[in-house]
Amino acid sequence: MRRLAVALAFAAVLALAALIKPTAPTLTTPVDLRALANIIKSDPALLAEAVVFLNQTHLNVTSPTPSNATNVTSPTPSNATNVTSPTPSNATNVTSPTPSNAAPTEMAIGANATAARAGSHVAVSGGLTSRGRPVAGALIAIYLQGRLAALALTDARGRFNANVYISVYVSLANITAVYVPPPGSPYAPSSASIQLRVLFNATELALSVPATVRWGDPLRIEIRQSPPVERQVVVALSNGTSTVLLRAVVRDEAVLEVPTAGLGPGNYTINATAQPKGPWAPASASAQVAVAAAEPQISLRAPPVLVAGAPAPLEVYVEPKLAVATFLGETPLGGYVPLEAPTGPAVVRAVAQAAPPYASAQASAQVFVVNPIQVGVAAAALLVVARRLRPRRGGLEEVRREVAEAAGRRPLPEGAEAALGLLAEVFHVLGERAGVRYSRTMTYREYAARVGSYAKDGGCLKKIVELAERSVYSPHVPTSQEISEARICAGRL
Amino acid sequence: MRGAIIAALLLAVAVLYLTPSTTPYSPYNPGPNGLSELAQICRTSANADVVILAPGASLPNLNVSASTAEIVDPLANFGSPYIPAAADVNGTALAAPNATPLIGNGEVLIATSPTSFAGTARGPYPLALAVREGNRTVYIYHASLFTNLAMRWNSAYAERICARPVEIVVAGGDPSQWIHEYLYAARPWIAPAALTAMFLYLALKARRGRV
Repeated sequence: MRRLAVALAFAAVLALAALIKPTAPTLTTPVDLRALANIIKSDPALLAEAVVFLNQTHLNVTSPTPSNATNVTSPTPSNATNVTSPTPSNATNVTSPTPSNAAPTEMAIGANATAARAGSHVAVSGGLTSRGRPVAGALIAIYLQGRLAALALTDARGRFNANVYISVYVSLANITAVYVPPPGSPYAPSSASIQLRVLFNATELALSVPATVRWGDPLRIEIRQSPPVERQVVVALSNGTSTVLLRAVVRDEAVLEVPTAGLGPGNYTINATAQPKGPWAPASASAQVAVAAAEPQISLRAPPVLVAGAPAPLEVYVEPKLAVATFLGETPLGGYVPLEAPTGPAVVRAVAQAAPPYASAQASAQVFVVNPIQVGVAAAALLVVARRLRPRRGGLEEVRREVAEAAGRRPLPEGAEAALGLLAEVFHVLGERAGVRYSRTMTYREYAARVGSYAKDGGCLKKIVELAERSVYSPHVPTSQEISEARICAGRL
Repeated sequence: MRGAIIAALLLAVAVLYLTPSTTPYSPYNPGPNGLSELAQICRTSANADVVILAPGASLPNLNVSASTAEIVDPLANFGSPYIPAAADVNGTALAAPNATPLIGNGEVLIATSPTSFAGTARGPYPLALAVREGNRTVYIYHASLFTNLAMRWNSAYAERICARPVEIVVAGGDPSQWIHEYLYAARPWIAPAALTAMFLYLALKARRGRV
């Protein structure tokens, strides 16, 4: 019966849990992706913005008009692995899925020049056809040396035109036009490339920095440029985890004074990059510098035992005077041990905060935390258990003695002794329940009346008391059958 | 009967604890839209300076919330318009599957592309904000950047933001999520409570045994 109850209760709880669905909000999704794609394709300014974004992120162009994309509502779309994110080294690596029966397309590309100066624009034009017929409204991505340079749309004759800014500094640059059909398109992808000679001037950059600088002192960075070109130089100081960027306009030479108080102590790599300017190619240089900090002296004394909720009497010595924060494990100590600190061994730390030219330092000590609430609860529980498990003063033997004393010290027949023994056992059990011990000052009936409400079967109690009374106060000697019946009756109490 | 109910409740709590949450963006949800991978590499803490905000959730003290209008990007995406591309201030490309715009004032750290749409309104939409609160700065990231699906592209970025403790704020939840949250909040008291319960059980049993 109990097992059935457990099973039913468990099933009920699980059914209740299953009925409660996540209450997270439902996302609202635009349904007409084709209309959105048309908005993008019809706005040249937006396409130009998209080129800037895609160039910045080194992402490739993906399907512009996914006809079946509205079916993709799951966060794990089956084609999510068709990622074209990192810019491929060769822009013709088209990854868009293409139907096997797609019509082949032919791409043609040309430019208005075979050579151009870096920093100028080149007019690129071309056409997209399929089996001799023009493909209109197709989005063409034009790459310069693998980087997206422009997006163009084919007209009714399949022609496209774009102005490509020459932003690369290599002697021979590839200009590639790529057609990536959207999923479900009847056309296959295609691409075509031309080569362009790029004219530019090489430049050089040099850095001069000290090997070591004291933390807090200014870091002097000397930059020299040859030949002199007035342009922006970006200087990046990096220690591997954080980077500080500085910008300066340099012609032939410049000096940067960098305050090191904002940097952490450690080894830094300085990279300077002169931005390209028209026909002048970019240049870069690097150097190393160590920002060195002094070590402060710190010591911590803590008592071996801390009490949660009580003040934490810690003694911290720091030379020189620096701001100090103390922690118990990872929890800040505001002068007091947090009340939620668990009982057990813990580490107390004193952390001297870094201040130029001194680095951060810390000292620690092992303590034992006592949480009075946790200890109190556990102690109370232990006390309850101990009280329950402790052998009671005046156990069964004492009740037997008291019952026998109440009857007088005369010798009794064996049957009467058995009846009194049974009565003592019953009085002991009921006395434990009631918390009232039997004493010879009470008659058997008086005590039975007092603890009778704790008996599950009052009739049995009365029967046992009467049997004992008859045994003591009359010549009647209980038979073994009467004793057996009374014992069975006692079991129901 | 009382024992049966207590046993059933304890068993239900244990089953719910062992059952993965199905709440989207829950740190206990190992599905593609859960944040279990992020929770494994990050240290979570209440009132952290880095907050991961799920759609529909809000931070009233900072006046920032995550909308429920899904962003799609037909052009700049990671293989599906529903996985729009986003970029941080350094130009790092990030995938944001099923992202929604963050609404609030602050410095934009991550935004979607100009060709992204929420409804019919065009982006870019912020997916991470730096918000000043008193003398501290709170960095709020949209949870879509760190779902188990997004982690295949954004795991390196997640490790960077996990240099500090993070707080994950999710709207709603299922029973498994609630049980995990309650047990996480109550973890300093679980050991003493279990000890107390055991002692009380023994005490009651001892008393019953004497009767």
